[in-house]
Amino acid sequence: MNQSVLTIVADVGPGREAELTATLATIGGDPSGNAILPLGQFDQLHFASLVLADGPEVRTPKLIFESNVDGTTAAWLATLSKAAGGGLDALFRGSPGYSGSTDPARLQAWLADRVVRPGAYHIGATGRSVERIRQEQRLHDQISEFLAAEEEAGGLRGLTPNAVRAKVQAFVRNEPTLSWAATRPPPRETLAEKAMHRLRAAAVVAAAVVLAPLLVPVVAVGYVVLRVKEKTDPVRQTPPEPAHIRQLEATEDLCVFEGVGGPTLLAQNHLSSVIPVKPGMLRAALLPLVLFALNLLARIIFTKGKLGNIPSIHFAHWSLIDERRHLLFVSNFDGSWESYLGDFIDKAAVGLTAVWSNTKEFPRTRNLLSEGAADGPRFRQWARGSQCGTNAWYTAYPDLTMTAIDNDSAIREDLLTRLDDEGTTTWLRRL
Amino acid sequence: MAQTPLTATEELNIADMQGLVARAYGNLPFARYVFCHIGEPVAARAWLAEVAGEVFTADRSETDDPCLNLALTWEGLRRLGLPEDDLATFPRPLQEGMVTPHRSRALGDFGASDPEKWAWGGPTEGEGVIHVLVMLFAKTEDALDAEHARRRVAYGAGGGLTELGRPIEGRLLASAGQEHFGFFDGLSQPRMKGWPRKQRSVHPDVPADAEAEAAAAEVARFEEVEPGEIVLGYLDNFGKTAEGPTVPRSGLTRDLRDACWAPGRCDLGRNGSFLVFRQLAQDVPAFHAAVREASEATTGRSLPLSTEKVAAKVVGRWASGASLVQSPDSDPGEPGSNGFGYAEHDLNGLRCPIGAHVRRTNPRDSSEDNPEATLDSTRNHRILRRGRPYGRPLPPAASDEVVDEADEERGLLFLCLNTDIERQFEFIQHTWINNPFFAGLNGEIDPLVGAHPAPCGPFTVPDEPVRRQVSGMSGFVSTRGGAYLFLPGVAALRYLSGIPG
Repeated sequence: MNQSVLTIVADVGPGREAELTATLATIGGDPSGNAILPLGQFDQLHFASLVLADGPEVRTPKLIFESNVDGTTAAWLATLSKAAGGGLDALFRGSPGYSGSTDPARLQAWLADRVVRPGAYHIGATGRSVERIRQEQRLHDQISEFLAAEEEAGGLRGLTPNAVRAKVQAFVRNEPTLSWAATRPPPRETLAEKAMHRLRAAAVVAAAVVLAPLLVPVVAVGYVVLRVKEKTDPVRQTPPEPAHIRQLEATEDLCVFEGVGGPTLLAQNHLSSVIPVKPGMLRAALLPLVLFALNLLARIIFTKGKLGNIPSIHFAHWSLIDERRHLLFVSNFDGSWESYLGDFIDKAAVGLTAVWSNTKEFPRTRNLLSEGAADGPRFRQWARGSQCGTNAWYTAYPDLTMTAIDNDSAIREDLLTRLDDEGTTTWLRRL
Repeated sequence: MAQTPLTATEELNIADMQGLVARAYGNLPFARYVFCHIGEPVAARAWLAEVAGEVFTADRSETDDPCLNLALTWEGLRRLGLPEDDLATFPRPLQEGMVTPHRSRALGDFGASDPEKWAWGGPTEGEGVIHVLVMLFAKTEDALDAEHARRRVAYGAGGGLTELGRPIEGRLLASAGQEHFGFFDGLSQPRMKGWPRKQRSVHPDVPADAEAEAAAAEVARFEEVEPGEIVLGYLDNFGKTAEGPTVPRSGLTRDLRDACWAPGRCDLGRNGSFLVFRQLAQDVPAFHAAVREASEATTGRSLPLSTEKVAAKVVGRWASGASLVQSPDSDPGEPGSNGFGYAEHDLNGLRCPIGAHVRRTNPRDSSEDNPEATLDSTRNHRILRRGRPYGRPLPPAASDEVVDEADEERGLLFLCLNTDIERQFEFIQHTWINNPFFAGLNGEIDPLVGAHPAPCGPFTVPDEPVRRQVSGMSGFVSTRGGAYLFLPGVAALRYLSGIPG
């Protein structure tokens, strides 16, 4: 199953911010079931967010609608226009040049013009649909309940690992609600997809080699200019306003539902930022290039649930928006902002520096890749300062981390395969 | 003083640090924590000028005489007369305090730990906002009383400081180092690189031979951090200066260093630290009952667990402090070395459960992919703990006093030092202790100290052939009070005593 990232960015009409903020608050209050844009109705939707970017960093206020879905963007846009026309019309009606309506075809055409293609994106649960993720969570839950009942009844006493596994297999086979689990799941990534991504990367490398004689002088000049700019580009000096951070924190680490004894923490958080790209030809050329390279890597290397070495990102992408003047970053990640930024600094500083050093006020860098994000305190201040508040955010599986999704998938994928003793032990540990 | 670039080998100016940085005053069993309000700022500053030279410093060797250490809240610094521009250079946790909606969510301060119910430091203090924390340590209760009486006359003079409510008494238990649940505490501490050898409180012995040296190096691998993780103004783990509050350069800043990151300003934080203080009540009978029940629930099962073992699985160490990694089967009776990781021998938590208290609060190198990088990350979230128990110990079950004293409050006065509260103390609290999804676990929090009420399910104990789930492990610890404070260096205390206004 293919997944797609669809982002719509539209200018907000003059004087509409207050009204829009109220509408977004209604959606944000109950993203799944609100009357305007009930996102819970879409079985193919993993995550979605609505962000009103109206800080000093944007020229005109913008409404950003980010969604991560199963299937193609075209199919998703059609479904969305048809099923949620009224809500989308309410959101975008006041945009300059709005020619949509509640009529699906017209709405879809107008929205399609405002779709922003990601420069680089990452998908954690490669190849797994919302349906499959939820099914595999249920499988794991039901096996857990089965094991608890067996343990209670003394049914596991003295059993070998293989015998325990056989019991679990028998339980799943005989459980009508788990009949789907008896079929082999599709691969997370097909051979054709793998081959395609590798071929594309090979082609790029080949082209670079062929063009090397031409590229070397360009790169050399570019490097000299870069080093000069790295020493003189202004960096952020002041910490972000406490009020700004409090506003961001108000929608972070939320408790969605009351658990057994009290509020249960959402597994994930959302982050988006809109940052002006530094002026000049160098950055205009460099940034798309870095994103292109990163995207190639993401398709080949980061398909096992980790971006860089970060195991906690479900969907994230960078897009150039507003005639390439701004860089949009959107991420749906596990855990707190603090732990996410810690991962950035500890595990992915190089890649992030390569991208974000092309945007304004980024901490001092060296040779495009060094320092920058590795300067923990300054990078965190910069990231907080450039972050937008999330007005509304939807997650299809609020209690699943990336690690849990992968673990549930592994339980299912190896449920009925032949395993040696070590494989069986490993599989049992996943329970 | 001229601006000198900081280097990794720079000597630590321990004579300017308060003693709490160096020691927990374990040789002085009686401690008193006095919360004060500044009445007359002029009188308070005069007292500070006098007392700055009497604060027990980190360079001094252990003594039986009473010791004094001081910390201030951000509100206290404002009351003292520190200008707004300078107050704004304090990190946000200090400015906002421990009680904000987001912090309460992240720290697990809801339900039984709701700040509205706190004994001190909560949102409803009104007039009685905590400004100064006076910490007194003494060999005997009489000595403590005498010291307190003497100090009280001094700081009360001219209406300088008034005490808020009753002070909190910290008492070491009969077996020093033990906490009320019956476990040895404070065994794994970060150690600042470059700390003078003689002053090392944890491992004072100099290695005698190659084997001992190797063992010491292994311990250092798990304990050493850059000094800037604990004390402000030195290089931290990121190779950057741990930036604290600053003040404008003036005639008063002679003894302060220039702040290399803020032109024209001096480092008020240097040799100081940020102190997190929380009063954590421990429900000892509930803990013992839960452990007993969990153990009984396993009798007749495939793999029975003794009460000692259940408790050890929850804590991650045996009562003696011995690690389950080194001693998986029974308590050897002594703590053993702190130089152990999880990756090599216990990746799957068969010895020490992934979700055990000590493994959550210090996961060390626990990672399949890259233990060394994980250890590096863990080092960025260490805190130097300086707490001690409070309240009388629960008598043995057979004693007549049980009925009377079972209801009495007891627990831990949790004090820790760090330079970045969000990255260190708060991170441990929300990303490790109260995170239902810690390290691939699904829907459980720290079984020993997690938020109360616990928002989720049973504690997972990895086992063969299949893991077991232990229910009832929650609700033993609740927060009764808390504050974020600044523990200044001596030069900074002098500066504060001299601010005009």
